Amino acid sequence: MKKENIKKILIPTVIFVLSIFIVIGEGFYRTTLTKESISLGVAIPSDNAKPIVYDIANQSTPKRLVQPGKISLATGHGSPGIVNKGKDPIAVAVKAEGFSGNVQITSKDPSFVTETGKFTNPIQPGKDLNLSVILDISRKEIKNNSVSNGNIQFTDYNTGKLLATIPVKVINSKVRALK
Amino acid sequence: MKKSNKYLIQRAGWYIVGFGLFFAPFAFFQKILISVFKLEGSGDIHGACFRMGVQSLFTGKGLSLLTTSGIIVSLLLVSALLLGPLFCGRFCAAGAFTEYISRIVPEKFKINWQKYINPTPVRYGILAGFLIVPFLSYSVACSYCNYFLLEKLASGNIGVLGSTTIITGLFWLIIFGAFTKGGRGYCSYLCPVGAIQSLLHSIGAKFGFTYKLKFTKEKCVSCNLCVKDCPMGALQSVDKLLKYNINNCITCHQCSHICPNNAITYGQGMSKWNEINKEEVKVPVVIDTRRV
Repeated sequence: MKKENIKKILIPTVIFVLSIFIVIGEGFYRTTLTKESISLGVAIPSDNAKPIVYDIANQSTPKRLVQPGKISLATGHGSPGIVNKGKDPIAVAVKAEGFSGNVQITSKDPSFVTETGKFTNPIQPGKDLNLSVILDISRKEIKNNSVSNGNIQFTDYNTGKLLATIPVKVINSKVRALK
Repeated sequence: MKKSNKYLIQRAGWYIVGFGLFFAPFAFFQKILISVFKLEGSGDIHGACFRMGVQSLFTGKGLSLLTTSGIIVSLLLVSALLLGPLFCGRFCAAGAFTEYISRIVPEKFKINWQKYINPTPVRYGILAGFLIVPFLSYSVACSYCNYFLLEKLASGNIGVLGSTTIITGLFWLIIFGAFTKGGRGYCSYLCPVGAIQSLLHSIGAKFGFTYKLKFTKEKCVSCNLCVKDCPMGALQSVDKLLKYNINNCITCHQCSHICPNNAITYGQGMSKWNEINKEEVKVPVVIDTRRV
């Protein structure tokens, strides 16, 4: 009877503690995936936006098996975002150039028009904008060392002035580069 | 139409209401709180994020009641204490989605996990871990969220999936979903929101003024229909005894609606489930002597 009682308490306790460690393990696993998506951030206007390099080899196994070619570049989740560092409001248009495959640009900002890539409300000084760029690259291209190169361009659609260009390079470091 | 099937359809209606209330593109509850009461929040499932809200509340970060998330989490916790896991049993479209999918899958392809692994220590361990990880600078609130995944699926555009979302989908939809008896394996084992509601319900049920499932032993004919139909496996037939696990019950009332004798009801008063295990409700065993 005593053995049964110990079993009744011991086994659930062990399972409880194991479950805690499973969640801790989940949390740890999550920290290894920071490079699976890229945070977008630039202060506009800017002459030298930091280039973004996305390495397919940094994707974890589930991502690599299910959706290796869909890559997200987005503001939020700790990134400073696209900030108007100027003194005047800017009417911003966003465009992606040079990428192979489809590019989808969206924003949670209700003033963003997907078809034109324009924020109809000007971005006020010191304010940032929400943006998400999704690259859709074919599985065939992922097998190359240099997968895709392109730029994300920000322009003032009232003046035509180029505000910033973010170079984006998608590579697969697991594949040897051709000489 | 059978009474239980009618109730299944009735429940589905509630879950559709729940989807409209909390999930984009509708999220009517959040939008009313934002537009009418001028609260801060997001007009999608993040504005009703129970996961982040529960985590913030119990890890000392606090929860502002002047936000959509604050109001919704408060309602969730109070209702769980007084009425049982109302959100799980009535409004959670994420749990309902897999439950109804699993009803299409033949029984022989489904595993009754709750029969082999008691969900109680697992779900409370998951809840405890969920509340501990922020102190270790880890984040699991968003990474393993099935609510957001459901919202993506419903929008028709799943967009970019990270590895943790893919793993969540695998467990929620397939392993613990379609191929689990009841279809609510994720709810049983992995959902911290359900776990906190069950914890509060198990405490609240000790008081007579709260609402709970009640059992009248005299009316029970041991048909086992409640065991077969419980989506959470909260009712199990173990060694011919009927066992009720309040820590895994979502008070969906499927059992009370399938019971032919109204032995299970929902209301105030004492539950009387514990009494039956002391006196043993035996499930009769029929031996076919023709094959002996």
